[in-house]
Amino acid sequence: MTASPGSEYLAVLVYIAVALAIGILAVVVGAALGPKKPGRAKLMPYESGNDPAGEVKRFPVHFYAVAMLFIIFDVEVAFLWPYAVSAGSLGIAGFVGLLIFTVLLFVGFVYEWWKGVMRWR
Amino acid sequence: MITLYILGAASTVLTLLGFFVPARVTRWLATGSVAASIVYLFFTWGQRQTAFGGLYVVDPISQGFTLVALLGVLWALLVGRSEKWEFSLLLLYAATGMHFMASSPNLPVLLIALEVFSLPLYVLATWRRDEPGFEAGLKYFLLGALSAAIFLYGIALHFGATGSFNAGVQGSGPLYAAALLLILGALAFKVSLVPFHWWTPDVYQGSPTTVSLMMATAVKAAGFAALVRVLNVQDQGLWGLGLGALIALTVIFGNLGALAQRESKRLLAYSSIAHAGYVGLGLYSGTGTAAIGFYLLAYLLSTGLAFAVLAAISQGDVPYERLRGLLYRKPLLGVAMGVGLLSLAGLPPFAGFWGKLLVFLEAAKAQQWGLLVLALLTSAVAAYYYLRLFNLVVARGEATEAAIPAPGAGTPVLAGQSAGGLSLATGRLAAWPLVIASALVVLLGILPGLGYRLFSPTPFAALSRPASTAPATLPATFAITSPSDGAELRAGEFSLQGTGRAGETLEVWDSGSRIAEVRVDERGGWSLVLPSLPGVGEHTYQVRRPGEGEGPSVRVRIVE
Repeated sequence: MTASPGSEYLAVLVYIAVALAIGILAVVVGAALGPKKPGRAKLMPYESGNDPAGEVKRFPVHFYAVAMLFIIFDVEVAFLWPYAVSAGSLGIAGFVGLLIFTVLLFVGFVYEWWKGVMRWR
Repeated sequence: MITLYILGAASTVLTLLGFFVPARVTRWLATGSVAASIVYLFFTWGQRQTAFGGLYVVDPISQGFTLVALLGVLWALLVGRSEKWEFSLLLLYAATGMHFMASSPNLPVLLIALEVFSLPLYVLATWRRDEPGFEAGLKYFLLGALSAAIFLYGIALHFGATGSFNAGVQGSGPLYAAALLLILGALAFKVSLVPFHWWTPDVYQGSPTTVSLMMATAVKAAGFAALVRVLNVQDQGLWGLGLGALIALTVIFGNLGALAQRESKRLLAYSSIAHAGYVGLGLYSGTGTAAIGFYLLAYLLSTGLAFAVLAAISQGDVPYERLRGLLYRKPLLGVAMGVGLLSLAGLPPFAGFWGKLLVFLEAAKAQQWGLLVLALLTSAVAAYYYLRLFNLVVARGEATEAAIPAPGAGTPVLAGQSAGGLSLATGRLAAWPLVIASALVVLLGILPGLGYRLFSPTPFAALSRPASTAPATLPATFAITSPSDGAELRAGEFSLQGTGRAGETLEVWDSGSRIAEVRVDERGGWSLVLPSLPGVGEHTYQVRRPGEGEGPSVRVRIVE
């Protein structure tokens, strides 16, 4: 089979479309079949019959911290990727360059570790 | 290179070292590394160096603007002390970014450098954990992010128009003009040219005074370094108009805005806007780097003096009334403030006078008479508000507010403002920078040549070792800069000018025949008055290296 450039991406697109169609179909079937008798108690959020937690002030900042750290180190991985696939041709200079980059970000990691960003209490 | 290594290594090491040593030690190490970078700069002054495939360039622009930026950071490090070592650390990060900003001709690298010094400043602006502090930090961050986005879009258009990421590449067409205007706008945010100045008064007022000191001096130096590189294009066109409009608006609104202020830091913020306009004037002629450099140095010393005095009084607001009689209560602070204000006003015999004179001369050289007159008039307006403050400093009478702490006391002014509030005290050493800077302002006012020589090419030749690495083949860096290609000239009234490597001899050809030989002077320029009057009609002037057949040329038409 002769594939034009990019045709495998077309396959991915088709894959997504098929997955989406099946998912929607399942939801539609689930929504169409079955009895529909809504009531006040049935529509209440689940908390064993009690009112749910009520008003929450705000989330702990940890979730933001973890998300920010994830973004930073995911960007680091995005930079490591091109090196990983062409490590052989970049030689020792490429390795040292990458090492410096990694060490710089590792210093950042050690800083936040010692600062206790990952401590949850 | 070493400057970068010192600053980069110090920032990295101190990040972790701070966990083990007291904040005081970190501060000294940070101060030491910035001071070492400055000393190294002086020892290699005038030497050129390139690294990382041209992404990092050490040249007079880099050295001059780095000097001003690092002096600003050094001053902030000497004046401010906090119990958190991150305070000195963030200043050090900013210093690294500013040095890179002054030393790269590559636009994406400039953007990264811009972020490297801006992000620490956003944090530092919020150091006072009170409402004005938060407001300052948030405003600075949002507008800074916006300007970075504009800058990035400008870079993309620049690449689209010229196919190059290098600043100062010649291009043409509306896309190129749009790219330069976007980049100009984004950098105008950083140096607070009107109408991109709105954040300046709030941020300078809301930030701790020590941080405002650095923002007002070092950030401007870094921003103008980038502007000098980006606007280093011969064809002025649309961006020239843009720059002219920005300068006109800046000198008008900066000075008029300052008239209405009642608080010293806000006044200095408006004054810094106005001064950015005057520095912008120096950008016009394209050869004004030395004038801009000297202006920024004089401005650093004078505005630094004013901010350092305010920092000694309070890290918060300082209403005018609080300065009343400062000279009698605290003679050192009074004298320093007086010298700073008079120099900012541009009165002789202080450094600020020569700074203004030099950029005005640049404007005259570029024949921007309208802007020049405007700048002169507004600088007369400026004298009013500077002298009003000066008048308060020397006036007899009592300040309306509580006594002012001595500069040497090291009292934490903002200690325990709120839960989690970070204190920031004025250090014991804060008196010495005041004395040294006042002396320098007067010295440069009497002997401006000392400072000006720093920024004109290859000063300190005796101090620095000769560059040992002469390239085997001469690069093609010679060109004719005047007249421009396709110019129409009157017969008998022009000379050729151009650039080349210092000391080299070039041949000038007219339409295929060799007419003269020129020698490039130590500034890398040459000029030639034509030995015989050229005839009417088309002439192609070409400059060649001896023995080479080709070289850059310009075509001019001589008319009656």
